[in-house]
This record gives sequence, structure tokens and C-alpha cells, in this order.
Amino acid sequence: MSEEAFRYLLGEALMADYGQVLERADDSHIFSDNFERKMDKLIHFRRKPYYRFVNTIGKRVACAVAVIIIVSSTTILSVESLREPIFDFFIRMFSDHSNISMESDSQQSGPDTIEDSYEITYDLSDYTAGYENTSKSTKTAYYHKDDIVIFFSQSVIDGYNKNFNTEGSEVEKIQINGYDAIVYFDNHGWYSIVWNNGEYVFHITSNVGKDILIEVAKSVQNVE
Amino acid sequence: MLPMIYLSMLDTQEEIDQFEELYKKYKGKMYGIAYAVLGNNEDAEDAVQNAFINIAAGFTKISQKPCNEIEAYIVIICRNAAIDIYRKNKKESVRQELTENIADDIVFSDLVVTREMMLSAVKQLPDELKDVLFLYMYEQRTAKETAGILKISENDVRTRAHRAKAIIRKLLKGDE
Repeated sequence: MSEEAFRYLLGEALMADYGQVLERADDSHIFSDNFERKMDKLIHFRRKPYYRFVNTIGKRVACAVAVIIIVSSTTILSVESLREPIFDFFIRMFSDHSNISMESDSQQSGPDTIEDSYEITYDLSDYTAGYENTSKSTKTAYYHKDDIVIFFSQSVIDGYNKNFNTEGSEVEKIQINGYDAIVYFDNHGWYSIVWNNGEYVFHITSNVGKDILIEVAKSVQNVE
Repeated sequence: MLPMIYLSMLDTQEEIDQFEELYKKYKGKMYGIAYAVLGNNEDAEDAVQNAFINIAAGFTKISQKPCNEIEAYIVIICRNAAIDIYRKNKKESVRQELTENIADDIVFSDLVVTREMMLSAVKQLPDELKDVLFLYMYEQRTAKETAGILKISENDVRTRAHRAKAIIRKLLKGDE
């Protein structure tokens, strides 16, 4: 028997076997509302607003990177016990940039304005505070030491929608104090970390290096 | 409940419609497969969700396959998504590596095999070997690609394929 004929017979037998597995599987489960909501998002979430920017080849490469993130997402620590609304990250990846927004599955939402002030508590005594600005929905701070710059922002979650320069960048998922965070290395050589704690979105960007930046991110605390 | 990172993975309305059809048709069965591995509702739903995310990620390619091949792929993806969660719950970092001598290739050119013989042999294989045979030998994916789908090492893919072929050969020859 030729190798090709063997492969064909093998495939046919395996497919018949898998078909039987499907046939035998119980089909009576009623899925939770949460499951249906998440799947609806997966199916219908599209990049329509920016569709004209999409470059197919670049997009495919970007998708391949992002899939790795998703596949590894089951290691997430449960934050349910913290009794805070869980906001999912939505990442639209385009050929030359990415867009990140947040959405909650629950009816709860975070504050509409900056009610609690969060700050970096990592030792930045060697750094000079460049500026600090607080508006109704965003607080920003900037620190620098020689050529090293650390930019920090705290924003309300509702309406958070930012574009990031991620062309050809590395994107991965990490944990910051038990919360999901996205860390990426942009095409200007800077690392950025974005996460939310159910109340605010935090974004920290720097050329200080990934490991230190993660430590800086972990030090962000409510100072009020 | 797991927070998710979503990525827009379906490109066209046609793909969305096809994916939705596949979702409605198989989600219940996939839950049944995942539940058989995990034995609890929440984890089984998470496994089905992860499986659909994986399917969506490669949907353009998958949607072009014949129906029975799609079904095979669905079973493999779903079962392995469930096994992945099971391993993580048990805090098993990696599946145990198999170590076998795979120097000698196994050939079937001297055998005369019928459909019934092949079906009977395949049924006697463990699931993990079937999955490798389907992806690596039948679909002729690379070891790297197969390893990515099954979340095992490339070396493990080759070793399992060798072991599966050895068992199949013995079964087809009637040695076992």
C-alpha cells in the first residue's frame, strides 16, 4: 500500500472516529448568560471604525501574535473575589497601530471621574517630576532622569479608547497586582503596560526597560 | 468568570455568518466533550470559549475544509482546550515528555489494509495519539504547528507520531 493511500485511509478512519465522538457528546447543556455574552463579542466584534487602515499581511502577523496572548489567557488569576466589575480588553490590531478599549460584562461600571488618586510609589527620587495634570477623567504624570522617561496615566474606564503605535511590536499579557495587563514594546523602543483594576485604567510607558517598568507598574497605589 | 482579551479575528460578514453557524451547531457538543474531561460546568464553558477563540484565529483556513475534517478539528481543539485547563487546575506545567527511539521510520508499504481494518486500529489508539496522527500525518502540518495546537513540544509530536504508527502497524499486522 502506498504512503498516500495509507494516509488517505488513516484520515478517513480518524474523521469517522472524531465524528462518532461528536455524535456521542451530550448536547443538552444550557450555556450561562455570561458565556453567551462573551461569545457574542467574539463573533461580532469587528474593526469597522478603522477598516480602511487595515493592511492584510500586517494584520495576519499581528493576529498571530495576539492569538498567543489569548491562548495563554487561562492562567489569569481570578479577580472576581475582589468584588469589582471585570472589564475585558478589546484590542484591534492594524498594520501600523493598535486600539485598546474596555468593556464590562456586568451592569456595574467604574467612576465617571477621577475620585481616587493613584500614584507610582516606586522609588523615583532620582527622577525629576516633569509635570502632573488632573482633568475630570484623566490624571497624568511625567518623570525623567537623563534620557529615561516614565509616563503614567490614570483614566476612567468608561469611554477609554486609545491608539498605540504597535507596528511590528511584541505584545504579551502579564499580571499587575492580580489584574490582567497588556505589555508591549513599541516600534520606538519603549515598553508600555496597560491594565485596569475595575475602577480605572492605568497606562505606563517608558524607556527604562521592561523589568523595572513592571516593578513601577506594580507600585501604583491609591494614595488617598 | 475569566476576564478576556478579545481580538477582532473574523474579517468579513461571510466569515462571521459561517462562524456563527458553526458555533450554533457545535457549541453544545463541544461542551459535552469538554465536560467529559473537566467534570464541572464553569471550566467546561471556559474550555469551549477557548476552543472557539482558537477556531476563530484560524477560521479562514478552517472554513475551506470539508465538513468531516472540520468536525475532526473541532473535537481535537475542544478536547485539548479542556485538557489544557485540567492541567492548569492540577498545576501541571507541561505534559510529560515521551522519550523513544525514533530513528527508524515505520513504513506500511508491505501491508494490505482495508477501511474496516484501519477503523478498528484507529479506535484502539489513545486520543492523544489520534490527534497527532490527524494533524501531523494526515493533515501534514509541521511538527511546530501540531505542537502549537496540542500545546506539547515538537519532539513530543514526533515521538507520539512514531509511537502511534508503531501501534497502528502492529494492529494492522495482527501482532496485537
